[in-house]
Amino acid sequence: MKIIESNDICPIILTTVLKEWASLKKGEEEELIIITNWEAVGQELEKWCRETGNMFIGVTRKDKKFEVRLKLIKK
Amino acid sequence: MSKITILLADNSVDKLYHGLVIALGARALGWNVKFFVTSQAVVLFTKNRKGKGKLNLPFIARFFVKLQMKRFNIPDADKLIEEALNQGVEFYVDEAGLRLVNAKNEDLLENVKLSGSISFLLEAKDSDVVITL
Repeated sequence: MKIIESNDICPIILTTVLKEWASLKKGEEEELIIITNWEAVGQELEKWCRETGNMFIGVTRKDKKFEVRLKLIKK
Repeated sequence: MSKITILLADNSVDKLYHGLVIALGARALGWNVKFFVTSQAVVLFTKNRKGKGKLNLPFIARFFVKLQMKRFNIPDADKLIEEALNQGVEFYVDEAGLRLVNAKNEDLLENVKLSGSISFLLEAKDSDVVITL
């Protein structure tokens, strides 16, 4: 499991997740937790997961931050 | 693979910003991204300017927006251009635009290519999404 804590805007976080996904080998999986103060990151990553075959686990709110969980899957 | 073609014909940094955000989102979805830059917007892709343009706002408002961007950790356009290039967004600039801003091919950022209207039209025709900014 990897934790990414970033207050960067959505496209930068998307790029970070993309790099993480690209670094996986075929058949590998990795759970990611993204901690951010941008609310839209969760919904954008949910759609991204649906489009790319990754698994979106959910978003929880902790104080002023959002914790987004997903599982990266390299097929 | 889906494909998007973006045409930027305005040298305001806010429009460039929107284009870059869309381009990065499209790459995250695995789309093929062609980003055409024409007219005076070409200047934003020279080594000297590297995304630094004007915000179409009065001075005080511009200052406030810059301050807020810093506060909310919103990166400058040059960082987004760098990310977009690293992520495989293909940038094309119009040669006439380049001449208009007194620049040459060698003044362009690395991996930014020259193109013309035919290249744009053929890419646009072949795209699933076309955006003009």
